Amino acid sequence: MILKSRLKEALNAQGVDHILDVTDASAASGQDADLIFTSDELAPKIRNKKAKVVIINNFTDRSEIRQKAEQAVAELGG
Amino acid sequence: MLREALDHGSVLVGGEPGDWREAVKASGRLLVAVGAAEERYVTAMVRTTEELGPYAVIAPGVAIPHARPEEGARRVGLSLAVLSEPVEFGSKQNDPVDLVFGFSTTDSDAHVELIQALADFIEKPENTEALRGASTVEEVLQVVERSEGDA
Repeated sequence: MILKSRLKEALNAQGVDHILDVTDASAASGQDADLIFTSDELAPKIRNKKAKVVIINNFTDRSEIRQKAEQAVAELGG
Repeated sequence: MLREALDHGSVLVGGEPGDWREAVKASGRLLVAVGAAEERYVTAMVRTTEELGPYAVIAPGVAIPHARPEEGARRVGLSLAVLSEPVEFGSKQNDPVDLVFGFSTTDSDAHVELIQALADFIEKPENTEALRGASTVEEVLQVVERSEGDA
């Protein structure tokens, strides 16, 4: 929930078109997504063949989230 | 907004719960004490944390344990247990935890603004450091009040 609103802020600031969904780890594994943002602990439980999993350590930290979202989006484009 | 959500009855300073279960219960009992949740909500908070692992630990040293609205929440509620002995939740990045914010809500929309305000508060290291330095409930409430005065 916190992460979702922080991500929305970051992606909007970067002008990235996006759809954000919040799911649990098992639903995330089957999700048709480009990127999955999660914590260090849940990351190993996500087995999604297509999406890149991005680990966020501090869900409240805008600069960490902005930086990691920017990098992940840049890698998608490349 | 945070200052209104917390009061003398929902803050505990100097807790030494011993482990994460007791820490979660301490934050839950504060919610019960102020009428924000029923007794069974406390048990559900522990179970939810067991199921989701250290997911409740959202920032260095900070956890926000909660359960589902239908598990005994009475209203949107916030509590805070400032621990003098930090506990391990099993979070590689963010353990040990000494600030435990108990949280309850009656539906998924009612709490959005409060959670936002809480996230903004926790994001600033000077706020969490000031909470860790507080030795009375009054000091904790002043830290929260000051942070909102600045915003």
